[in-house]
Amino acid sequence: MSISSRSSSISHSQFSNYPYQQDAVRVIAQHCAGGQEQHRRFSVDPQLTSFDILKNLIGRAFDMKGDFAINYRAVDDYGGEAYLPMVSDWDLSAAFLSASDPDLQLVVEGKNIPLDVEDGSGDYEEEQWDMIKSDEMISSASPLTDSQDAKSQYSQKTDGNTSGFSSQSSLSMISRVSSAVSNNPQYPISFNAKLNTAGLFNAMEKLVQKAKNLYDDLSVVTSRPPLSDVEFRNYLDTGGTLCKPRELRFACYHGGIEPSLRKVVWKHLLNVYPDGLTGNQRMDYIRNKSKDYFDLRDVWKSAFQNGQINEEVLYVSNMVRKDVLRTDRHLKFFAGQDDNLNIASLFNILTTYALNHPTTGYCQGMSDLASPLLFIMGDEAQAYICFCSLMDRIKPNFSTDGLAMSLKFAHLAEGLAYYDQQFWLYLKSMGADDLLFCYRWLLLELKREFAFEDALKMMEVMWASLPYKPQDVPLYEVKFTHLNAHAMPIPIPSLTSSYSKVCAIRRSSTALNALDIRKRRYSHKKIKGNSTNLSLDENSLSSLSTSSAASVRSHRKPFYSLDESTELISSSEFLSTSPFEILSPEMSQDMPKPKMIKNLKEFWMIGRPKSFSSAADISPTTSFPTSTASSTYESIKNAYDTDLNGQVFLDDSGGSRSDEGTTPTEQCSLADSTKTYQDSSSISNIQSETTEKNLIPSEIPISNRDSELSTSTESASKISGDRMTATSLNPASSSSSSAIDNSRETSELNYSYRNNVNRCDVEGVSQGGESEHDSGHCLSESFENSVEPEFQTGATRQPAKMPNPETLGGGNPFLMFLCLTLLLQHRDHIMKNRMDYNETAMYFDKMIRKHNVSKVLAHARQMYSNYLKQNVSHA
Amino acid sequence: MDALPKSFKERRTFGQRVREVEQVRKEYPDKVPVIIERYAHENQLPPLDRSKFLIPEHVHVGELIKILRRRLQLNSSQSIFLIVNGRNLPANASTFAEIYRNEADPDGFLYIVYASHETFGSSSPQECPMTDYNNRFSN
Repeated sequence: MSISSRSSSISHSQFSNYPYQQDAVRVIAQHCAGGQEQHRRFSVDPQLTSFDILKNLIGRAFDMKGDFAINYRAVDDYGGEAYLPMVSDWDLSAAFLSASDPDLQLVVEGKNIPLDVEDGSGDYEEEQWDMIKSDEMISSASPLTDSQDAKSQYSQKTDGNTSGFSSQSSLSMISRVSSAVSNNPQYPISFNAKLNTAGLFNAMEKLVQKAKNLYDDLSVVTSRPPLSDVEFRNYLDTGGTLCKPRELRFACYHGGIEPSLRKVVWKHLLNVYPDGLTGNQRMDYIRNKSKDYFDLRDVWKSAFQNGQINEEVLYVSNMVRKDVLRTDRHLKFFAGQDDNLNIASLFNILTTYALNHPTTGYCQGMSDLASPLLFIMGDEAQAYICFCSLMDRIKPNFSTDGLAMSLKFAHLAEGLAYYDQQFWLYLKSMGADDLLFCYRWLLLELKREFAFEDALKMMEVMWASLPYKPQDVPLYEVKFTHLNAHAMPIPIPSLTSSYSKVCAIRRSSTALNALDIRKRRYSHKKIKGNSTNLSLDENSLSSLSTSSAASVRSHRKPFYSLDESTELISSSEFLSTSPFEILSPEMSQDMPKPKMIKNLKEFWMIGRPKSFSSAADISPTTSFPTSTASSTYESIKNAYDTDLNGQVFLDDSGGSRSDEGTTPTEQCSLADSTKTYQDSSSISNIQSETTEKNLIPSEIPISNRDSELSTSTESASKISGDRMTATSLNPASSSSSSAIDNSRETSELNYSYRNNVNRCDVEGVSQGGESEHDSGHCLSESFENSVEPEFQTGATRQPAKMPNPETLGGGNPFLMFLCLTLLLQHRDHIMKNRMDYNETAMYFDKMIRKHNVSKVLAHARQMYSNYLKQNVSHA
Repeated sequence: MDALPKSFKERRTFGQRVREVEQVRKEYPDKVPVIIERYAHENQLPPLDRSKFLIPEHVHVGELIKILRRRLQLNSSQSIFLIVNGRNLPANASTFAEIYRNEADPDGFLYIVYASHETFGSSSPQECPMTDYNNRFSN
C-alpha cells in the first residue's frame, strides 16, 4: 500500500505555561507520500480538540485512506529529542503541554496494517503485561502512585521491562520509597512510624533495600529534573483539582520547578488555595482575592491623596519606600529609575500589608521576601496573596519578642553541635557559638545567600518541604480604614529591638561565652586596681559594657548584613580600621558627644544618645578602633541597653515600655539620671518577682530561689536606692567578684557565672556575693528554660538526639539543614584560617549571593533525609 | 473514518491470543490474564496506558477498582464501573479466581471494560464488547 511510507510531523507554536490557556495552537503537519512532501497548516483549539478530531483532521487534510499513526517530537530534559507516538487524548494533551519549547515536532511512523493479516501488528507486539503486585495491593492505602510523567511511561515501553517497578528510573524509585514511607499528613517529607502495618513495612523494606545504594549516590547528584508541566498535570485530576498535594511537594522538593511553571505551582506550595478547588474555581478565587486586595490598597491610597494620614502611616510608608528602593535592584525587573512600576508594586504590597496587619507592621527584610514573589507572579495582587500566606508562617521571625528567632538559633546551634562537634567547639573557642552571624539566614530564610535565580529554586524546594496546608488566605488582620488609622498604632520597624533581643537571649544561653568574658573582666578589674571613686554610672557601665562584648560584636552585623546597600561601607570601615585600644574612663569622658553615628542612630533608632554622657570605662576586652571610638562607644551602650531589655523586657514591657513609647531600648538606660535608673530597676525587680512565679518551671534546679526571692529583690531595690552614693557599691562588687572567684572551683561553675553575668546585665551592679539567686538571674534562667529546654545541656555536650521535625526550626526543619549545610561547607576554610568571630561573620557576608545552590540543596537534602530516618528509628 | 482505537481482540487474532495466554499461564500459574480496556464511547475517564494485566487470583474486584482509580487519577467524585465480559457487573467481593472461572473468554483472557456509567451490558459475550457497544447504544 502506498500509505506505508507516509509520515507526518506536527509542530505548533509555543504556548503559555498554564494548561490550555491559549485559544489556538498552530499545527503544521508534514506528510510524505511517495517521496513527495506535503505540508498542511491549520490551527486547533486545544480545549476542544480531541485526539480523534485531530486524527480526522489530518486524515482529511492529506486525504488518507487507511490507518495511519501520528508521532510528535518531544525534547526530553537532557536535550535529546524523540518522536513519541500519539495514540490517545492523553498523548495529545501531553503534546500540547510539552510543546512549550519553541517547537514540538512529533514523528509518527505511518503504519499499514491490513486488518486481515494474522501475524501481529507491529506496534502492539511490544505491548507489555502490567503486573498487579501484592505490594500495590497492600499499600493501596498509601500513595504508592504512578506519579510518573508521560516520558517514563514511554521508557517503560521501550526498555521492555515487564515489571512496573523495575522499569522505573532509579531516582523515581527513591521518590517512591520516600513517598511510601512519608505518609505523615503534616510533613510531606517525613517518615511516619505509625504506618508500619506489617505488609507495608515489608514492602517498604524491600524498596528501601533497592534504593539503599542509590541513597549513597545522592550526595552529589541533583536528584531529579525540575517539575515539568506534564508532570504537574499528573497531580491534578481531570477537573484541575490538585488531588496529590504531597506528591507535588515531593517532586518539587527533589527537583525544583521549571521556571515557566513557577507562577502556577508556587501558589500551591505557598498554601494559597483552599482545599479541593478545580482549575476554574482557583481562577475565581484569585480573581476575588485580587479584588479584595485592590480594595484594601485603594483605602490607603485615597487616604494618601486626601492627605488624611497620620504620622505613623507616613512613617511606615517612608520606611517601606526606603527599603523598596534598594531591594534587588540589580534585577532587570526592578532596574532603571526609581519610578519603575515594579518597584511601585512592591511598595504597594508592603504598605498594604503593614497597614492591614497592625500587629506585624513593616519590618526591614520583608521587602526581600516579597520581591521574588512579585518577580514570579508578575502581578501585584497575586504577589500580595502569596505574601500574606508566606508571612503567615514567617511573621514570628519579625516579632519584637525575638522568641521565634531565638528558638531557631538554639536549634541551629544544637544541630551544629550534633553534626559537627569539632567545628562547634572551634566556634565556641572563638566566642562565635552564639551564631549571630546567621541572623539574616534565618530571618529571610536564606533568600539573600544565593543569587536571585538560585534563591528562587532554594525557596521552592524549602517550601515544598513544608506541610500542605490548604487555607483561605486572609488578606488582612485588621482592615485599615480612616477611622482606625489613628486608633491603631502601627508598629514601627522592629528589627532593631527584635534583633537585640535575640542577641541577648543568644548570649545568655551561651554560658561559656559569658564565662570567658567574665574572666577577662576580672583581669581587667585587677588592672584597674579597684579605684574607689567610680561613679555609679561608670561602675555599672563598666561591668556591663565588658560583659556585653559579644553583643558589641554581634550588634555591628546588622549594619552590613541587613542593610547592605548603605551601611556596608561604614561597617566594614568600622571593622577594618585601626588597632584596639583601652579607653580609660577619663578619655571617654573627655570624648566629645558622638557625632559620627548617623548610621547607627538611624539603624537603632536611638532617640537620645546624650543620655550616656557620663558613662565611662570601656574595658580592654571590648575591642574597637579608636578612630571611631565614640560611635563604637555608642554602639556598646546601645548593645548594653538592648541587652538589658532582652533580660528585663519580658516582664516589664507593660509598664515601663509604655512611657518610652517606641524606643524601648532606652527604657533601661543606665546613664539616665540615677533616679530614673533606680525607678526602672526597682520596677523591673518587682515585676520580675511577680512574673517569675509564672515563668519558672517547677523543675528548675534551684530550690532555694523562691525562698530567697523576696529578700533578694528587696535588697536589690534597696541597693538600687543606695546606689545614689557610688562608693557604697565598690565593696559590694569586689566582694561579689571574689565570691565568684571562689565559686569557680565549685561544680556550679557555669551556672554561677551565668548567674553573675545575668545579674550584672540586669542590675548593672553586683549586689554582693551572698545573693546568688537574684531576680535578674531567675528571670533569664527561666526564660531560657522556656525557650530551649534541651539546649541547656546540649550546649556543652553532644546532644543525643535532634528535636523532632515538628519543633525543629520552629516548623521549618529543612531550613535548619540548609543553614547547617552552609556552615559545614565552609567549616574547613574557616578552621584552616583560624578565623575569629568577626572574620567568620565577614566571610559569610562576603558569600552573599554566592553559595552554590545545587550543592547546598543536595547536601541539605541528604542530611535531612538522614535526620528523618534517624528520627523514625528513635521514635 | 473510524478513529476509535482498536480493541485488543481486533488487534490480535484468536490464535495469537490463545498462544499468549498459554505462555503466561505457564509462567504465572497463580495470576489471571486480564484485558482491561476503556469503554469505546467513554468520554469522561481517561484511557489506560496498558491493557494487559496479570492479576493475582486472590485479588478482589474492589481492590482492582482502587488500583484503577489511582492509575487513572480519578478524584473521589468520579465514578468507575467494571463490566466483565461486556455483560456483568462483578460483585466487589468476588476474587479474580472466581470471575476467571466463570467468565473467561474462549481465548483464555478475561475481558473487562471500564466506564463511568453502569448502563452498558451485552447479551452476547462472544462479541467484542468494544465494537459491539458502538452499534448497539449509539442511537
